[in-house]
Amino acid sequence: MSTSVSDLFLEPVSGHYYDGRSSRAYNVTFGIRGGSCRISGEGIDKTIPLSDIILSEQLDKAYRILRFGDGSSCELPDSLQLSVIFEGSDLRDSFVNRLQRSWRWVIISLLLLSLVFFAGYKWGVPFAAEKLAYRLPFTALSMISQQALSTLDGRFMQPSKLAPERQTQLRERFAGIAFPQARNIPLKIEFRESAMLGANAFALPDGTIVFLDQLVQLAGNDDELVAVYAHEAGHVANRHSMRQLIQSSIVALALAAYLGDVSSLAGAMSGFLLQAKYSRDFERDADRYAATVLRTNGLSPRLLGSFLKKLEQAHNRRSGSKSDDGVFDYISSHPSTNERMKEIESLSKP
Amino acid sequence: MKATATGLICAACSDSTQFGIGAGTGAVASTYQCEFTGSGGEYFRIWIVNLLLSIITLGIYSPWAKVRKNRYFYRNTRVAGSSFDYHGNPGAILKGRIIAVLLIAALSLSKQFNPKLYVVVLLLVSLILPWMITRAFSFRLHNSSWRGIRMRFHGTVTGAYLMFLLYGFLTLITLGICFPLLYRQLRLFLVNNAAFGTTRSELTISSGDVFGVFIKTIFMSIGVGIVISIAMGFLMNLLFGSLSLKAGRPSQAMFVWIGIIAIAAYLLYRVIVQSFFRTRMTNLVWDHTRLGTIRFESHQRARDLASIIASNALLTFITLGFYWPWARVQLSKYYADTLLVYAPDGLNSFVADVESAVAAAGDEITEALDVDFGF
Repeated sequence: MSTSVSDLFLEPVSGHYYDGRSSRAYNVTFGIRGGSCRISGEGIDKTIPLSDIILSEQLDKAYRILRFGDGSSCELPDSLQLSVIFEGSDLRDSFVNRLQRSWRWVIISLLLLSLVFFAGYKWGVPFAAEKLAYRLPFTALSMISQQALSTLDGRFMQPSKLAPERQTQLRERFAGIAFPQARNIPLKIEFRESAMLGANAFALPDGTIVFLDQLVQLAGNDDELVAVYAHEAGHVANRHSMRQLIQSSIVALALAAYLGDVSSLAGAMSGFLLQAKYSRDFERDADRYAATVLRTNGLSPRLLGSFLKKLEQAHNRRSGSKSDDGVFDYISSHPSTNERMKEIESLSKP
Repeated sequence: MKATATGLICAACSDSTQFGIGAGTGAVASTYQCEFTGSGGEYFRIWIVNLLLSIITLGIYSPWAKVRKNRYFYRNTRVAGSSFDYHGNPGAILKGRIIAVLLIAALSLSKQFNPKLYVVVLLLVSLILPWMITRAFSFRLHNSSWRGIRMRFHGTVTGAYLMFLLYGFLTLITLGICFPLLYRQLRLFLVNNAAFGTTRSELTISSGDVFGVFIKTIFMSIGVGIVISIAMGFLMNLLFGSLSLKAGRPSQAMFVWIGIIAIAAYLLYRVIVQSFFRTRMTNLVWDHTRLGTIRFESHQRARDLASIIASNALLTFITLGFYWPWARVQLSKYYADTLLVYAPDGLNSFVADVESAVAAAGDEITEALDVDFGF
């Protein structure tokens, strides 16, 4: 299929010749015949075999640059004409350049790219993070957790003001909870006080579950605290915080590659939005886990839902705002309480 | 210190795109307008294919993408009817990127797991940073040509270390007041060590000039900050003033809107201040640069650059990033349109620096170290 270079023919066209030693521009004509090109004008008269040419790729308006073995080069204005001549020969444009010149391939690229982005975000990143998170040694989990806890202790949390007897009582209650599957990460309960974080509880990757005083006080009975404990145990069992960390790192890296030269702030902002979805998925997962645990222990999964409602009311009182479900689902790290209650409700039915 | 130095590399690189320069066809005293012939639509096609190939190869293609991108911008930049060309070897860029990725991974992992190790890695990275800057600049210039003549960079790693140690220390003990001196020294290091063929370029800016730009920028930023704050106050009052009185309690939606307006105002502020600094500094450096008998004149204006950057950022944001190629092309066009080259003796008399090319190719260590760190 390849055209022999000896068949190529080009009527002499005008261009510039550079000798590679000085910056002088020679006005020359450039023609092709019999497998070689001829450059002549302003004292230059050279014949160079086409096999000795390195040809720059075609661009819309940029000059074509032909580089020769002896370091000299030629600049020719008409880019398209050369492409037509060289089409099918060894000197035609590279595969990638031809992709870039065709709008059809560009649109296909665009579609493929959207597909890769979507699939990677929806399935690829969570899959990779899950595989990786379960492979991490426990020492790594515990190092990260201790690091995080000491940072929080220094800045946002103080020692708990709960009576030691109350703490022991709760610890014993939690220790009596049976789990449907064997747990490979032992759980450890910590109590803290924090004016800043309010009524809250959270789990660290190494199995540490931190209860904040305000949350303990908010609970009407200990069963509600068991519900919270079961939810946090779900985060630990399914390695949510580790997976979240890995997922956000991957998303941040990908965004830096894509938007990096645009603006680091734009990258960080969209990263925040994209990671929120992952976080909501984990919350739902932990809710489902908690429902199973509660049922195993003869408790109603509704406990979690009703306590969530209580928590939401407490937070709203604190910030003085009214609940705005719906609109903020997409930027929120947790699903709306109504949505979570509905889901827990459906899980409560045997 | 690390962030500052990286910022400076970028500042230097953005100039070097148009560095180098040249000559007219005749030997007559002439003025040449730098021109850029690229278009957004054409660069979009290159960008999207580059992006796709980079992603599906998990980043391995990205050095080839960078070469294609650079070639596009170089070959579309013209002075006196002749275009620039880029000759970077993707292999060398890949090497540089692998090293850089490993360093970044070491930094972020040690930061997560072991704060003491993090300090050690950070120290190590700041130690090799001057080497990386010199390599990146050297790679960039050695692989840039105009009329078949390559540019050169003669800056040594020792020179870079001395500069960073001396002026870095001075900046540190004066709590940053002497930062303009470090900035000036870096510009001098980059321009005075650059060459087109055998002809070295020369920069003559006084410390007073550089301090002047910094001080003006500070006053400017205060003024702009006050104006934007007042404007934002009025806007907030207009939007929410009556609302919050009636409802009594602010809604969550209102907080989000206030947040969005505040971020937009801050971004606008940053764009204006940065444009002011960048245009003043670019003009100052070009106007005081000589290449043999050639002089340059740059007449960028802060308000032009700010409106280009602001509108581009907005459109890029709205289109989820797809406007970016048009934005990038528009910026290059502006840089080219505002640069004039005066060549009283013409542009034909530059001579290729064959000697340092032979030296570079012959030395196997140099070959092995052919690494590009410029991002």
